[in-house]
Amino acid sequence: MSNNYVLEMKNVTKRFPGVLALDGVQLNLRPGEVLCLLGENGAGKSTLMKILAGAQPKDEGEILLDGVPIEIESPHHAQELGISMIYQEFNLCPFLSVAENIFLGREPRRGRTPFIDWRKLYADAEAILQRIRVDLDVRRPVSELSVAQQQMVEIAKALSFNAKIIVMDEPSATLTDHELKALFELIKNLRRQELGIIYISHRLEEVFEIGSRVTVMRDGKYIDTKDVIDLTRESIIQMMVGRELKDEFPKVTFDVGKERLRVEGLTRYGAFENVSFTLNAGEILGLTGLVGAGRTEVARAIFGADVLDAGTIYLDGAAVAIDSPKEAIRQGIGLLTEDRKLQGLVLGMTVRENCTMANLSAVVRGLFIDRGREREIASQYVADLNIKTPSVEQSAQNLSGGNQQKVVLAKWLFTKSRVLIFDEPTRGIDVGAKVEIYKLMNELVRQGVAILMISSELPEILGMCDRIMVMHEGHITGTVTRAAATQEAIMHLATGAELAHA
Amino acid sequence: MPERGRSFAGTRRLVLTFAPLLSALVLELIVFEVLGRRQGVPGFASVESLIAVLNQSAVLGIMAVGMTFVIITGGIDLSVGSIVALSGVLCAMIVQWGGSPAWLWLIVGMGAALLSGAAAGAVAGALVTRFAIPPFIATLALMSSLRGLANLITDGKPISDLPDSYMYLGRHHLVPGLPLSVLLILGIIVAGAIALNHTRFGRQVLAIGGNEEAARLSGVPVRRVKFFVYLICGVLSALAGVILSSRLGSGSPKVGVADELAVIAAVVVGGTSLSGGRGSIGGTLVGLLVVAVLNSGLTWIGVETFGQQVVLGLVILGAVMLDRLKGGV
Repeated sequence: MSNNYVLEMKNVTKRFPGVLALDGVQLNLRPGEVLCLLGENGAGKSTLMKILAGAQPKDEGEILLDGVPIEIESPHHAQELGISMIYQEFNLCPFLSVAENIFLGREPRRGRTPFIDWRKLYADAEAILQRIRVDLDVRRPVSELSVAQQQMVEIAKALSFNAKIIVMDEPSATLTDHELKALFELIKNLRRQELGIIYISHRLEEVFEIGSRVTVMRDGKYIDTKDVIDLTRESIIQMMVGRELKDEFPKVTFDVGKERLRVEGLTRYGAFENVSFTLNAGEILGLTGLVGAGRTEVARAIFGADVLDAGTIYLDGAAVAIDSPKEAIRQGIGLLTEDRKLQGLVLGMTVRENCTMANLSAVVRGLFIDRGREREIASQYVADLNIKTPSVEQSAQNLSGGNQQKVVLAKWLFTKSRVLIFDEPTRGIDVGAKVEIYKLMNELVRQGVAILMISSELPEILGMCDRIMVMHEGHITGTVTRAAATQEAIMHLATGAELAHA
Repeated sequence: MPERGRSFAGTRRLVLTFAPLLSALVLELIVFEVLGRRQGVPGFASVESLIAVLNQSAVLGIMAVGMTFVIITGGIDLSVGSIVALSGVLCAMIVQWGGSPAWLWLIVGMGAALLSGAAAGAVAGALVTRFAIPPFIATLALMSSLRGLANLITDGKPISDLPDSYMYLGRHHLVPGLPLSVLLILGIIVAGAIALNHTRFGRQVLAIGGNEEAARLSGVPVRRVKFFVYLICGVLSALAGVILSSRLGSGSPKVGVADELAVIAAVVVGGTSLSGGRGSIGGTLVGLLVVAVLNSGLTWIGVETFGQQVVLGLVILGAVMLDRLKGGV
């Protein structure tokens, strides 16, 4: 085994206000290998890669390129050093041609004139595409290409910088099986040309197909690096999850009541297919899976925010037609959206105005809004939910994240919904506020409200839910009860394995 | 209805929010009074001349109320000036064609004019909400087509030779010194302010402008509210057109050119954000007065139209820059 690393990252530490994002992390990459970087959401993979790409400075640590210590100053500098990133979102100009995109900003010119030497531009672009054995018309605009072909253009662009290292962040997320095979062929090609590749993916099966070694991170810490040959699916999951549940989940179990919400065969093509489940009064049903599995899309469709292609929704046993959020609210369904700033709050409005937004008819007398009544209601929620704000007339944008989330909660409590869907209710919220939100969920369930909780955080799902549903690529792969649930079982389902005994 | 105590608090808040604008207004009055006296024409800062200014700006003011609602939703309506022309022309044509009794045909004409405004607003609303055409483009197209329509049906010539009663709405004084149209504009401003601040509709308008997706997910019928906002703007523009036509004693397809810009200027100077979500009718009134007093003051001291245009541009820039400094956009 050779030790001539193309890249070494040693003891890299990164602090954000109040958070230690990376705690002495290391990573080594050999030329001609595919290193799979694994970890749960929030483990620190993205932060580490941003540092490598020059998008963020590190606080401590050392980076060696071909054994030489370097400081990466900017994304541009990283490219010059031969480090290229292929993000999920491509950085391509849709109406420029393939060749123009590959050499954007570095177009060859005719001598010293400002005019582009088109012949050389196309010839150079063709040469690069030949190197990775991709057959594309370099004169075609990128907007006419498929997602997979655009990805090839990104990779060609990376090679045009004489890249030594290519980082691919979830490159397979949007590809079909056929396209994925082509991508793997291309990666093997790059390996033969002695490029080092860092490959980030949530799909464990891919690790075994193209990975050489695996580096695992968890909670901003480096866990271990091992050869793929020495690993099994189970041992990888063990390394990724590996943490014990603390007692931060004040779960109270109640008797399960009658059926509140039942959905059958819900389908929205391209997002999810044939989703069926039942949600009963007095329970919290968890819905988890990897990012992009279709969880939020299911919630939005039930709430009438997106159109369904097929399927039926039953409320208290009766089929209902929900064609808009307005209708969903009228039927007694509430949705706490994933992104409170973009979808949950009108930030420029006051706490009072946000609290009553989803149930304005309750504060309207005759033609006019009764502001006195609004103030009373908002003040009551501020007291009940312990919302820290100087007054109900405070603009929502001036509140902290946790308090903003409580205002969104107040909005939905005031609708008196019988079914509440919580989409990532505790994302970006500190532990104290999390526990308060969990206790509130307990209280709602005690009152007979049925809760569907979507979350990526397994500890939260395991800690608070009575039953747990897992989605993978638009399908429900299994449902486990609280008693039977383990992190490993859920990770299996979330990465696409079918459950042997449901 | 809001209680009396509240409306006092409301007035105080209004005064505080618009302190810079109100002081600009007072400053304008003082400056033009002083400059006027030097030229031997005192009396600019008087109730009579203020009413005259309000009377002159009544037409723009009525449009500005509708435009404020549109801009708060994050939209824009460029067709208002063309609606002014079309509605005035329609009203005059019908009155002329009908003959006697004049009062009956006046009512029919006004009704038809308002309907045409409603129809134009409905088309704009439908284009924006059903076909997802950006408001700027949809109303730009309407601006052109409606202006052309007004010219087509009149062959480009003004409709005159109208009965004296045609001038009632625009020129009648209820008591000497208080024109009917000033009362009308004040009434519409009060109604607009109450609608925006004290009704569900107004709250929904503000919510859509502040965060359309959050509003939709809170059950606000976004499409319907936006549609009505354009509809209202169209009807108010038609009303403005009828008043203008009555004041002129004729229906001309050439009036109202560039009115949309004057109206947008008043709304923006009044502190309403072009990106939506923030604004008030009171602000629009003050903004309108700042612009109108400036124009008539410049005329008072003998500055001609070209100079007025230059100064107006600078005032718009100044007002918006002040607004940016306050932290809003």
